[in-house]
Amino acid sequence: MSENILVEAEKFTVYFRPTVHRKQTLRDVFVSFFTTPFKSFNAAKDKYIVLNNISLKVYKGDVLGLVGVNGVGKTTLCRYFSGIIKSNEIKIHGDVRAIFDNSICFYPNLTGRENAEILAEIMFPGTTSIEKSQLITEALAFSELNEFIDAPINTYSRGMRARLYLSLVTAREADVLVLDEIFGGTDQFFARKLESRIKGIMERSGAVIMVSHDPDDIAKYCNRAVVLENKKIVFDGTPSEALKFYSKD
Amino acid sequence: MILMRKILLLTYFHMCSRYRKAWAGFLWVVANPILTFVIQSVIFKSILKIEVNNYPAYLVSGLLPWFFISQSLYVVTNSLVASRDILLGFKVHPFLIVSSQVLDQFVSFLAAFLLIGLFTVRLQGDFLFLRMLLVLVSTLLICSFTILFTNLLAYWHVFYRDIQFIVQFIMNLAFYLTPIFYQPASLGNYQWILSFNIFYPFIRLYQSSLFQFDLAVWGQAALSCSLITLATLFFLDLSYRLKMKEFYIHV
Repeated sequence: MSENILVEAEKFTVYFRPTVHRKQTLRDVFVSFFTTPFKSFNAAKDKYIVLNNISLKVYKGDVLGLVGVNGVGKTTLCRYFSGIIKSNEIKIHGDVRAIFDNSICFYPNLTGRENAEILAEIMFPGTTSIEKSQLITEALAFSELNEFIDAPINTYSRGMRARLYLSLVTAREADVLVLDEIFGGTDQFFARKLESRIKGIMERSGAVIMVSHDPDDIAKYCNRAVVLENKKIVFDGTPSEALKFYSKD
Repeated sequence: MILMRKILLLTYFHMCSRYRKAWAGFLWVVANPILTFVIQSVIFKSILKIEVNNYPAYLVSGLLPWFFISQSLYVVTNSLVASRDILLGFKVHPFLIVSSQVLDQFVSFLAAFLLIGLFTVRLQGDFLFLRMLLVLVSTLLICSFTILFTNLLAYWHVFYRDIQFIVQFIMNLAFYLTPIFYQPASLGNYQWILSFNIFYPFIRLYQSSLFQFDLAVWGQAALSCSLITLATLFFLDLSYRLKMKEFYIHV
């Protein structure tokens, strides 16, 4: 069973110091040092806990839905699971691809094609130049942006950016795929086309971790779901039971 | 190797974005240090009557490296804050974003250096090959230091958002406290100030290889530069180790 574990969190806790919001400049530090030296010294020991004692194993074949209200720490947890933020308490076995914001671009005044090249380099680091070129060609065709692909990306609407980005990021499967609220920003036609593509990539990927506020998405795609509440995992089971648990709360 | 490839690719696209793929865009960026050089050369030599033999050569050997360091710090310190969405959306190390933007500045520095530096200095006389070699090593040292130092400041700027303005203020002061347009002897009894100036050894590298060849002075400056660069690397690594988790909350 252990060789099937792709992501493993063991007593994982995330916190930050409240000083984050109090002292945002060196001037603030300077002023508080002279005005309230003892208070600022004590405040440094305070902790604001975002996620507390999270233990979770994601197995090969899992399509795991993360359910919880806004601000409960779903996206933060996904950032750790995707390896963007590293932690000793989280072990990732295999390559991870994550989608957090479907309208990000690197250089707004470069074309869609050029931004796609950069994204491909960042998201598919292990592939050869020929493979990358094939991925980009396929993704650009899928996006159906046609002649706009060679227009600067700052002329794109949010939906067009989402098309480009989602087409590229879903071009290839991964050991772990992290999808955070990705079904937004695109038109109905493209959303349907994307849905079948994502279903395909989900089937080919080792495991999928998915965040969605839409219960239908969780019920439709996932085979397991956890509910996050008060900084902890309060339920881990089938999607229908998890959604029932979540709606009761 | 993959990191280097990513840095170079981002540098390339950053340059495409900055110069809009036009030679005019590139010339516009290079024109900045050239105009600064011409104006300062005229003001300091003709108006303020600074007495240095072959003054344009002296000025250019200090001004161009200074321009590279200061412009990198001015322009790139805010880069991580500006790249918030990218840092939170992709597995992109902050070092990659900052370094690619510093390398873009480095290309501008090299272009300006080749255009006016070598033309003004007109390397002649003995030890030509050795001097060129020293210039090359100097360039590697200044590039390494600037990449690491800018990374350090850009990283801490995420935690303390006024660092960018403090850097600008300090660099303005440091310009007048660094013997770029005047000679160190002009500081008289205050020459001890230079031992606390971390930028001066980098300027000295070029002055002692390009303007007035002095291997002993160059060696001393190169040793100081290496130590400063290593110290910067140590603090950058320490900052990454201690504050990386908080970095993503602050950014």
